[in-house]
Amino acid sequence: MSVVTSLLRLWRPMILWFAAILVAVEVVAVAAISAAGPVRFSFWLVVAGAAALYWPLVAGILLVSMFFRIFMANGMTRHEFLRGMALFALGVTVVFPAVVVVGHAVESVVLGLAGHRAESYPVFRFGEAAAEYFHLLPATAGFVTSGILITAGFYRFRPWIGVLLIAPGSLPGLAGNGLIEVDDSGQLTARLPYAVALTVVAVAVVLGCVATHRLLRDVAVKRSAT
Amino acid sequence: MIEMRGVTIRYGDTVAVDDVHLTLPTGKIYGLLGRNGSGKTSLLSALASYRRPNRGTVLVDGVEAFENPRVMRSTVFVRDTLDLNDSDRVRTALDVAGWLRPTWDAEYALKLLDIFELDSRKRVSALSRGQRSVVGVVLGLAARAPLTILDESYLGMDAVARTLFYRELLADYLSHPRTVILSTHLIEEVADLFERVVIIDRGRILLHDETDALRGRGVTVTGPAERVTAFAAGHTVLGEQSLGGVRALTLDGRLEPGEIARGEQAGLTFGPLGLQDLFVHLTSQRLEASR
Amino acid sequence: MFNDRSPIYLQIADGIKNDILSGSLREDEQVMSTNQYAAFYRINPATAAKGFAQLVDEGVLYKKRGIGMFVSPDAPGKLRAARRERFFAEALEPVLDEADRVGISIDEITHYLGSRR
Repeated sequence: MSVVTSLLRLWRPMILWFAAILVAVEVVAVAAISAAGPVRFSFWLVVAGAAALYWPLVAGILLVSMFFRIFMANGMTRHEFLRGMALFALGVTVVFPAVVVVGHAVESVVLGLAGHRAESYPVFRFGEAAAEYFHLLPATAGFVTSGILITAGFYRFRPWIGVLLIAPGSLPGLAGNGLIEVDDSGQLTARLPYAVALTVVAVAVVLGCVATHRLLRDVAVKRSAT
Repeated sequence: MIEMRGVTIRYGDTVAVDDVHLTLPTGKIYGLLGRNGSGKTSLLSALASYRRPNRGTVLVDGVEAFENPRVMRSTVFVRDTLDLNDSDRVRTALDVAGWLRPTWDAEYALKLLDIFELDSRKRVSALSRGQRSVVGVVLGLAARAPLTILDESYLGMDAVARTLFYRELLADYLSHPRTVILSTHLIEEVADLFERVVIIDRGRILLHDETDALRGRGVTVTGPAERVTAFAAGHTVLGEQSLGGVRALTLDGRLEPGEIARGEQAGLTFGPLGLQDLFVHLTSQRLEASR
Repeated sequence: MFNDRSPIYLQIADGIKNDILSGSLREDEQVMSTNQYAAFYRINPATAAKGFAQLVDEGVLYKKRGIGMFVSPDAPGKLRAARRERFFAEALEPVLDEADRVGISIDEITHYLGSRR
């Protein structure tokens, strides 16, 4: 089995639990809010939208700290693991924004049918689905890259050097979220012209990947997780 | 053939492995002996490509081992600290090995768990030190890897578990011959399994020989001080003890029967030296000096 | 079973010779394979093989290709002859030395041996 398939199987229980909790929180919270009157904001965009940033960050951290040595101990090379990790991170980047968009669509339609949408609720429009997706994707890519890169810094070097590397390591995430975002009110924002902003984020992500490769391509397999 | 060519490993200013040249023909069980901090684990980390040497290379069947997928797939290295995630169940650790290792024998892994009476549903965090070691042994043996490296895999095991471990190791080696490298401090209880012994001391290879050639290699000579001293001339002295006029010397090497007969006629008594004692004498210059 | 004060392969060879002399291994009887021997006594098979090879070299055992190793028909006789030769030098001499040290005369020893007849 390849590295990426093994990663998927290892993460499956974690992903299912996470998804179940997210959906449960959404259903309970939205039901409670709408009981008090029309819903004025998208709870899903607040909760899952934020998760679209931080969950990839955590995933990136765990990939290096927990799984690198497990795969090494089972006969994979560093390069095989790095390739598998890159594919997995790409999968997270592609799938997570789609989940956020689909959730927003469902929430919007259900509240609409029930007549519980207030004036200010960010109504989901199918024509804007692609735009919403592509405003979520850069931040997701940036955060998963930063998670991996910062952890790789700690893995390779002594802690105090790892701390120093947090600043450059967080650039892909900051660029992704700072330049292009979907805010809580559902507003799509790009601080620069979208194409320019996207290019900046892409460059930061690619540099992050190159740096990660440099850090881990011949790193010693540590005796503990970090 | 597994070869280390000029392998040096440094941690900052500390040299853990110092220009080691070592050739290990495949298909044998090796014992790697060394005191704490002698460089055992560093040497094994280089052998398993867990660490790239600062200088030198490791070759397996003539090709460089580092980052070579074929070599990595045919190597298993079980460290004393064990590469397990605490939150995982034992079963998960075995499953991952099964997904990734082409030579993994899942049925044998279950049989071993049964022999060691370990419940695969337990979480790694709930295991005792000895049980964690058992998981390591299972991962190491069921991988059936052509190069199997076990670094102090007996830690925390009780006498029964250790005996089971040695028995299973030998039985599986007999049915699936491969290269096994076992590092240990408990020389006496496991030495009979080693075909060859490698002793490392302060980052250098002190000795690499057939285990059988080391049995009875050292001799202790006891008797009146001046006669013992005279007899020892020309021999390498590994250790000495004196009490009053009586002196006991530990000599390296085998003595000729004629030599022993002459010594006995002069009132000296001879005793053979066990492996453990030989190891202690060879690696304990500081101990001798402090006497 | 084995001690680590002399090479195990020699101890193996001696053990099998003793079995042949005592009759627990008979002429043309098959001996254990090296792997069986290794598993039984928990020793490295290469060490066991060396002990058996020594016995084949000495003509105590012979090999049948693909079947195993067997006790040579003349092994008991040869071993007994060799041990008889060594008996006086290796078993009796130390006794006489000890007798000399504690002041037992040869006459006393012959007298003792006569009473044991």
